[in-house]
Formats: sequence, C-alpha cells, structure tokens
Amino acid sequence: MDKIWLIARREYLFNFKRRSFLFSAFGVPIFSLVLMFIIINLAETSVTQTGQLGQIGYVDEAGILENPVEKPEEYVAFPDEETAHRALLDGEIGAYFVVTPNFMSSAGEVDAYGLDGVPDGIENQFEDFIHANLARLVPETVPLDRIRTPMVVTMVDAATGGEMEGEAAFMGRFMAPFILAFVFLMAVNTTSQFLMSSVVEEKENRMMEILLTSCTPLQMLWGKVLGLGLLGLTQVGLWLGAGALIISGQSKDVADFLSGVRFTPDIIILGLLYLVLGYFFFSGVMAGVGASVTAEREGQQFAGFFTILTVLPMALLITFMEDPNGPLPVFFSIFPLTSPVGMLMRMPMTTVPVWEIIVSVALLAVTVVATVWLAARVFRLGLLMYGKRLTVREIIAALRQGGQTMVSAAQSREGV
Amino acid sequence: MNREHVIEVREVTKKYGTHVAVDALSFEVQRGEIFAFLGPNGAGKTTTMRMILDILKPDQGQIAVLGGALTEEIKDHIGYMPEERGLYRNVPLVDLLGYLGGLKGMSQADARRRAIQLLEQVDLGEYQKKKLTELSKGMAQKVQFISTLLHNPELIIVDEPFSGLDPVNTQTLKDMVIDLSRNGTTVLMSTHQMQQVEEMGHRLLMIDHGRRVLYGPVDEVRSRFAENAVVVEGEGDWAALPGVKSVDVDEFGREYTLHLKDGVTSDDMMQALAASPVHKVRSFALAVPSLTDIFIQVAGRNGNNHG
Repeated sequence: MDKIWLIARREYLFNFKRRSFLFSAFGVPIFSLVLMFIIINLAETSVTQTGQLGQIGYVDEAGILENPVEKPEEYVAFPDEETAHRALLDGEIGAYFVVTPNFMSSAGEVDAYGLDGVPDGIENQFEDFIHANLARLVPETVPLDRIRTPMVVTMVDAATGGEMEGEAAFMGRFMAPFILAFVFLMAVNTTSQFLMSSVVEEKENRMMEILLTSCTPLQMLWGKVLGLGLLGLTQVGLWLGAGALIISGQSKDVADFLSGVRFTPDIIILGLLYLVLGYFFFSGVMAGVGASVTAEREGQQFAGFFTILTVLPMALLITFMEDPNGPLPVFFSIFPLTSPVGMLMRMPMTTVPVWEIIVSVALLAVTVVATVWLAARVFRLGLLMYGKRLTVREIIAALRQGGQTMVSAAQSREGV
Repeated sequence: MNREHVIEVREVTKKYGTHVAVDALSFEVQRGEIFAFLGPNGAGKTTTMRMILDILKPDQGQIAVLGGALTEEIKDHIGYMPEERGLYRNVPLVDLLGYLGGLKGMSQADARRRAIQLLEQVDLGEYQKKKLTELSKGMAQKVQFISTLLHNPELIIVDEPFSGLDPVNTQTLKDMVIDLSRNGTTVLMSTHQMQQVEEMGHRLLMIDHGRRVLYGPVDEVRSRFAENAVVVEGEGDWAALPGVKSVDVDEFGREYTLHLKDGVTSDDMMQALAASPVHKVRSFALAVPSLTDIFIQVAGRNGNNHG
C-alpha cells in the first residue's frame, strides 16, 4: 500500500508539471475568462453604438411615419431619397433608412444606407421606431405592449410545481448535467492519456525493469490510476472554480440558467458512479494500450478511437432532446462505452426506467472489471517488450498465462 | 532450503516459441560471494536473471531467492542493475534516488541521505540537484549503479556493470563491489570482461545456448582447464630435461611452457630443476589458462559463431 501511494504521489507531481496538463488545467480556464471578458466588452460597446453615427435620417415612402410617436432625438425626416443621400455625403447624417412604398404589401422592405454599413444597434433602434408607429394602426382593443411583446412564457416544473425563470432556466435544467459530464470526460480523457504516456515513457527509458523488481505490476497500475485520478479531480476542481468565477460576474441570464439546474440526489450519485467507472475503464484501456505499443503516437491513435466513441452521445444532443426515449438515446445510455455520457444526458430529460439504469450500470461495471483484468495481464506481458508491438496472439497467450501471474501475486501478499 | 544459498535455480527452462533460451539450468549462489555469470551473447544470461527477479516466469523448474519465492518483501532486499540502463531523465538525482529508495521500502529521509552519501562516494556529490540528462554516459551509469545499492540490499544482481566505463570509473565501481562482498552482500554479476572475474570473482557459471558449460570456483575452473604443463623463466636447455615432451616459448622469448609427459607431475619437474646444475630458474608456475582462453575454447567447442 505504501508503494502504491508513493507511485501515486510521483505520478501526480510529475504529471502536474507537464506542459500539456498546465495548459489544459490553467490555460483553458484563463482562455475562457479572457474570451468572456472580450465578449462582454464587445456587447457593451455595441449597446453604446447607437449614438456614434450622429443624426440618422429616414425617408417615409410608405406613409406610415407621419406625425411619428417615440421618435428618437437624433432622427431627421427627409422628403425624398435624394436630399437624404446628399445629407449623408455632406456628413450631416451618419446613415438613413428608406421605408419603401410597398412596405405594407411586401415583407416589410426597408433599405438602409450608410458610408461604412449600418450597425445592428442602429438597425434595431429603427425597428423599434417602426414597431411603435405600426402599433397605432391596430385597433385600440389590442394594447401597444401586446404588439411589441406578444407573450411571456413562465416555465413550471412539472415535478415540483415551482416556477422556473425564463428560457435560460429551461436550458440550465437540461444543459448543466451535459456540461458537467463534458468537463468530467475531458478530465478523464486527459489523465488517462497521461497514464498511457507514463507507461510508454517507462518502457522507452527502461525504468520498467527496475520498477518491476521493486513492486508488483498491480501496484504500479494502481499507483498510476490513483495518482492520475487525483490529478483529474484537480483539473475538474480548477475548471469548476474558474466556471464559478465566470458565473459570479455574470448577468441575470446566467443566474436564471443556474436556477434551472436541478441536481437531484439520484443524478449526483449516478453521475459519480458513472464517473468513477468511466475513469477505471479508460485507465484500464490506456494502461493496456500503453503497455502494448512502442511509441506514444501509436498509442494515441488507439486512444482517439475510444474518445470518439465516448463523446458520440454529445454529437447526438438534438436526437436526445427530440425523443429521449428513442432507440438511439436508449442504446447509447446502455452501451458500456457511451453510457456514462449518454445516461447523464438522458436522465434530466425524461424519467429513465429503473431497469435501464440497472442494466446500464451493470454492463459498465462488468466491462470495467473485464478491462482491468485484461489490462493487468497485457500490462505485465507488454512491459518488457521493447521496440516490439504486442500481437493479438501474444495477448491471448498472456490471458491464459494470467492465471499463474495472479497466483504468484496472491502468494506474494500472503508471504508478507 | 539451504540458508547459505542466496539463489537456487533448479532445472529451469524457458522457451520463446520454439527457441530454447534457457535449458534445464541449475546452479546456486552462496551468501557473500561474488558470483560471475558468463556466456556468449544470446546464451541466456539476461533471461536467467530476469527469471530470478520474477520479471519472467520459467516454463519449468524452480527458483528460490533469499530462501523462497520472490515476494514483495524479498524484492526490498535485492538490487538490480539491468543490462539496458535507464532511469527517469528529467528529475534531479536526489529526488530520483529518493523515489527509488522509497520503492524499496526506505523512508524518504533515509533514502535521500543515503543517496547523497553514495553520490559523494562516486564523486557525483555536486551533481545531486542535476538531472540525468545533464550527465555524461559514465556518470549516468554510476548513478544507475548507486540506485542498485541504495537500500543496502542483501543481494545485488548486476548485468554487465562495467561495460562502457573508463578505467578510473571501472576501478571505483569494482572497489565498491568488493567492499559490498566483504560486508556480506552477495553479488551476482554478468560480464564479458574475464579479467574482472579473475580479479574479483569467487565462483563462476558459464552458460552457452542456455545450458551450463562451466560451473565452480574460479580457481578450480582454471586449474581444471590447465593441461599438464609448467611455465618457467630462466636459463638452460629446457627440452633436455627428463619428462619434458615439448617446449613453447612466448613471443618475447622470456616464458617457456614445458609440456610434460604423461605421469610426470609439476612436483617432479620442480625437483628435476632443483637438482639440475645447468638450469637457472627465476620463476616457476603451473600453466593455468586465462579465463579468456577457456571462454573461447568452450564457446568455440560448442561450435557456433557467436556475435
């Protein structure tokens, strides 16, 4: 146990200092923060943009803006396009709109003229202006406000009867488990790839023989799995911390989004279960792959295959949302390689039958046991194969031999 | 199980596919001795050592190390220097050795203290904070050697410990091996350098094609290969002596090898020389072949071209 801990500590500290870990653990959150900051600033400038062009002209060829209401101060009416155009060229106005004669009969055609285009903010402002004036044409039984904002939706949680605030809350309800699953998966992927690199490196720099004469292959495997698992948790912690930081400085939409997040105990417990099982599965695969290949690049090709398989449910998000109980979502939430992500995506969307959850967890658990069992044997066999890739036949032979290995490992423990 | 036998190998066979790497091999290594393990390239030395260390499983036969099967606890009492050297490269030496000591059951503090002490002993004291990548090949090999004895093992198994070292470093490591042996550590050492075996080895095992071809105390093996001859230096007509079959002279014209007739012993020859007034003897010795000669002779007799 001491040796497992020692190995775990070394793996943690050594891989923590890796450039690729530092980048994904710190670089990604910092990058997101910076990006967030830029976006917020851009949004703010686009709001203040409405005044920047100075006066705005308009030509009403449809006859809907006579004696206009809610006319912004900077708006100037022109009798025809020619005078407006001249005013634009002379710099008296920054842009002008032409409400075309067939505005009412067509799709509502308005032409906008500007020297360097017309910003969205200004266009929206003009739209509001048109809106207000069109509303005058509607019978008074329809209030002006209903034209502008025809409806406001209040989400009611069917389970609790509680009110959810706005669309963002609705998204939060469905997206939060998805986002968490994604973060965990990224961490699991990074760390299990480190596991593979670490095995390949020890083969390449010939540390392996010394390690094998100091501890058992299983101690090595467990040490690596635990050390790198803790590293993965560190990464998740850093990401969630950065996420909290981003959120704390955010608008009402984000608060709404969070109000919709609903982590019931069953989702949390299952989430953790899937996470742990998923991590052991990946670790087993990566350790086995690492031990049976000669170069890291070769191993990464294998690794990539498993990664794609795992994130497949995410690519099918729309399918999941349309019908969470359709054949594809059900399959992906039960199939062992995709079930951690698949089930976590499905659970908030629908009530998943208990038997499906049981089958899914059981299948995953069996797969994990089989994978780790296989990995431990391939691990031991592959460790000493320098410069030579394991063949399928050798792996099968290793599985047969594995019984003996286990016996001797068990004897060792009794001997202590 | 014999307490004096640190290693017991009994009828051990290992096959790779159809190739028999080690063939019904048996030998013992006794406590405190320097045991030399010889053989041409590809004879099965590394495979045998890996089986002793439980890295590989024998197909048949039994191996006992320090009194039994190689348990995890017993691993802590063994030091191993593999033929293919290698340690973590990007870690300061003292951290690296501290970790390796820890894996052998030492506390971190003890391991680091001992690492610094050993680094100083091989003149690498000032490099303790440096990484392996910053060291020369010879220095790296000394570090590897240190990692083998960090935990004061009862048994060290070293594969070609002196290969690629300059004479000064070779001497440093040789002195350390001899010291270890004096303090009761058992050393199993594979080597190609016969001179080292003659100087340091107590007993030897030579294998070829996975089979034992020579085994026993170094002196005994050499005398077993000695033919009935003596080597003399001095003056006189050696061929005229009674009992001498033929005479060879070395390339410097100084040493004469007197091949004796059947039934004539070296003692007879000494008496004959002492009695002879016309012969002057400066030195007299049994003609004992060097291990190099024996090695070539035995490996050659097994009839193959070895690399």
